[in-house]
Amino acid sequence: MKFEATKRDCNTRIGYIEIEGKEIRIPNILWYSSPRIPPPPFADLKLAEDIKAQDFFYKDYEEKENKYKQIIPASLIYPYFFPEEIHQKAFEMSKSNEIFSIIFPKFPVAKKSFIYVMANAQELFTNPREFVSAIVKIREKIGYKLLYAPGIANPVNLPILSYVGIDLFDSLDIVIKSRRGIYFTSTGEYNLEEIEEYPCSCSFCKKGIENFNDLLMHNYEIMKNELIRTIRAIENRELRELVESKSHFNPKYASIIRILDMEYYNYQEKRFPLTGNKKLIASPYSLYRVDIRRFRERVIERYEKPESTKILLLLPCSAKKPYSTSKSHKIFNSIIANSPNRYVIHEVIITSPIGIVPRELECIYPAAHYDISVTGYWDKEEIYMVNECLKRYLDKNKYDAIINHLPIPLDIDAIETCKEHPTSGDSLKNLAKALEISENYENVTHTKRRYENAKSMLLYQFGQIAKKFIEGCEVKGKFPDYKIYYEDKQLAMFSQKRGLFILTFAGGRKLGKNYWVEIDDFIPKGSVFAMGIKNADERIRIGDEVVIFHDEELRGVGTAKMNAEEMVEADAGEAIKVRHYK
Amino acid sequence: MKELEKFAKEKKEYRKKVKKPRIWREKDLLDGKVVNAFVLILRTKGCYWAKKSGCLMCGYYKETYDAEYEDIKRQIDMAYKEYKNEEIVKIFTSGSFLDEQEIPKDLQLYLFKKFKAKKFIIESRPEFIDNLENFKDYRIEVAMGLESANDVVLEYCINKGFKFNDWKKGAEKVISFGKELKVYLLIKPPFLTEKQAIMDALYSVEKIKDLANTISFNPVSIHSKTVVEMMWRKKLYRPPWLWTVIDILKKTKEIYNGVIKCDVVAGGKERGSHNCGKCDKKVLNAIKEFSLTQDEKKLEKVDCECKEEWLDILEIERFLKG
Repeated sequence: MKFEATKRDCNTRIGYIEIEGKEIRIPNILWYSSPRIPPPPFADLKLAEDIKAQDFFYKDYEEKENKYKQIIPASLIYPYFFPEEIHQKAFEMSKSNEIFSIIFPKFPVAKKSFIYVMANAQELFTNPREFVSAIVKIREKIGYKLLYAPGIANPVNLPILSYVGIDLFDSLDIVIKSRRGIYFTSTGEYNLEEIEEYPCSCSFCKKGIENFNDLLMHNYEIMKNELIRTIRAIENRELRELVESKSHFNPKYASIIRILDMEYYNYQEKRFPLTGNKKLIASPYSLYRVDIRRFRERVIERYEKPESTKILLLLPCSAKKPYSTSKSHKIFNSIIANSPNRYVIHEVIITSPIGIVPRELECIYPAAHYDISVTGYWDKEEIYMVNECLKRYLDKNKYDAIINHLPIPLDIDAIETCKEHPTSGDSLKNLAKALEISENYENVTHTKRRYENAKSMLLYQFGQIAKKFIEGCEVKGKFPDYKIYYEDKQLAMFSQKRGLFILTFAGGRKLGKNYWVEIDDFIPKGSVFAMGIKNADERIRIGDEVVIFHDEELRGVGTAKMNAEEMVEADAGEAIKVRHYK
Repeated sequence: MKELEKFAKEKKEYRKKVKKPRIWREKDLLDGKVVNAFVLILRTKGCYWAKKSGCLMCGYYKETYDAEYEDIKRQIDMAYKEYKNEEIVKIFTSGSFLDEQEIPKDLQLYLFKKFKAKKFIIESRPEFIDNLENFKDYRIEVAMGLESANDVVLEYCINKGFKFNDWKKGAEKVISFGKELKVYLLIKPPFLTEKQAIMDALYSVEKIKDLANTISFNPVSIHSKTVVEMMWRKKLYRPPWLWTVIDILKKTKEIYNGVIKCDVVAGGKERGSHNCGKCDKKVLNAIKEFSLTQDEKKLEKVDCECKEEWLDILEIERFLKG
């Protein structure tokens, strides 16, 4: 049995497993099935009691032939609040088979298995902080293997459970609640007796819910819809948006998202894809969302401003992305273009929730992709975040002068040019006047500035090695479609679609052993699968440009489909989409 | 498991000492007839195992104090003043009556001599059965808590401190001393599902049915300051459904010829064996009647729609735990 992940979003993925010749999509639901409690007709996976399967305490049936091949081993599971040494004992007594093994969050040692069943899931789920911590601990042990959390999923929380990294759910909570007359919608649970009009048009609601079976089947429909919605969201890279909207219906779920954001950045950062070509809908929740925070962190840690620039011009963001395509930025641009020495001016856009976006990075995910309600109102938290970013940014990047063309005051000494509105006549006049100081500086040529822009962009993408990479190179093309040449050979070109530079084979050679993947001895064509990977640079994230080596020999360049950790660990699935090979 | 033994001990919380014996009267069966019984709870040092570690569900350790010889004698005398020649006298100590550390040997005899009962019922762990040799002249029923005949359940779920075979040796001694044996079986030890609880009870009945004159089932109730109470507060333990109790009683009746009893402590309450709340009274009555009459028909006549929910739990509880 093997699992192959095909699409990833947030901390989760879509993939396929093959069971007895049938391909099953993950994430999925184990539907409980028995003569008394029928599964829904659309069930791919069923959870059933095997009367011949052994019981932990009563092992009479052990070793006999089982009706089913995939058996969850019977285990003794103590409450999570019991001391660790007791969990260790339980772990030692627990059995596993090649398909299933129980993972004990208090003593998370992974026996070799295919699917891990989370012990104490129900108990932990009552406490968001302990739940999140347990999931992260478990994931650190089982890596990218399949994780099943029994007894907690329902139509309201399913996307959130998926988001944190759970792959398999079950219908048990629905069975219990259906028996108690609970009617599910995608956003809540209600007493059937209190519903006068069904907010659903499944066949059971149309006909009228008369008994347990009707209610169960309606609830199953809702659960299935929620699974499909979650899968669609992962495919479309909008799981985070779905999860944020769901978290409004239960503060416990909001806590799960919040705690993950605030306390488990590294866990999530490894998993979140680096690039994206879909709109990111930002909300107040997004300030700490991982891909946004990663952008902020990289601007501070990796990015360096174009060296020749001396005047920092802070500009407001625009609803249209990339900013330079917007009406307001076109106006700003014409003023900058008319200044005496335009390339000594460095434009940096101030925005929420991203923070600060240097003009060269405006096509990079998520700067070019986010969408937020623009009302002109700034929260205190947003202002604080922007000021923090700016402070850290200015500690590292030095300018002679700062011009603030935003309608909000910032915690810096700047020439304020904005009156009322950034595009008002007075504001624009002020801006043009302020930019006249550029004539005091030595003229910076377009060619020089273009080279420096590309270098800054490469620093964001590859870190310090970018400096060595671009040494002796020539940059051609119109922003943002830069092409980088070395000794007349193209090394890289900027892809607006992916928001980063993509490498040629020669580019791979110049980059050297950075963002490297070490493969077995073969020529990588088309795809490199995880099976063929020996090791990988731990910096690699999903979407990164990577160079493929065997020993010291460059074999190809391509796009990472997994992060480095998963490439090394997984034994199936496409790890790299190869673009050029030897 | 020594880790579980340590945990059970750490979680204990002793409270204010009560030094007066507790006394009440109830009906019981004697040779097939319903008679009056005098129940006496002596305050002693209590169960030695509870002090050393203790069973996870047992809160009786709180009812004890370091009673010395004179204290106990005084308690016996106090109780005797209220004794009205009931045919049966039951003496409980929150421990083992036959443990000399709890009740000195001559006070044990003093008590048997003083009360003119047709039959005494005492309780003891198997470690102390040898002391019965001093009481040849009295009709004594020894009630021995076994809880489960499954060693895994005893060690990992109850922390009983003995294995089935240790217990069985003690039980056989009771018989060889010519005394009657009552066996306590626990219904739904912690960490067992409702379904496993039924399996466990019936397995235990099979193992002891040839030894026991009486089998007394104890559905777990939540004693305060116990590990099981901690679990119950976190909704990680639910006392058995009354349907489980009914099921066990019915099936035991089919395979066992002795007397079957079941006193549902805190029946119908959150802390005791309960159903949905609507049918609890009816079901508890049926169990009570069955205990007194041994007539299984009393168990047949009860039903409620919550039985479906119980049947669901029998099916799915195993999967909920992972």
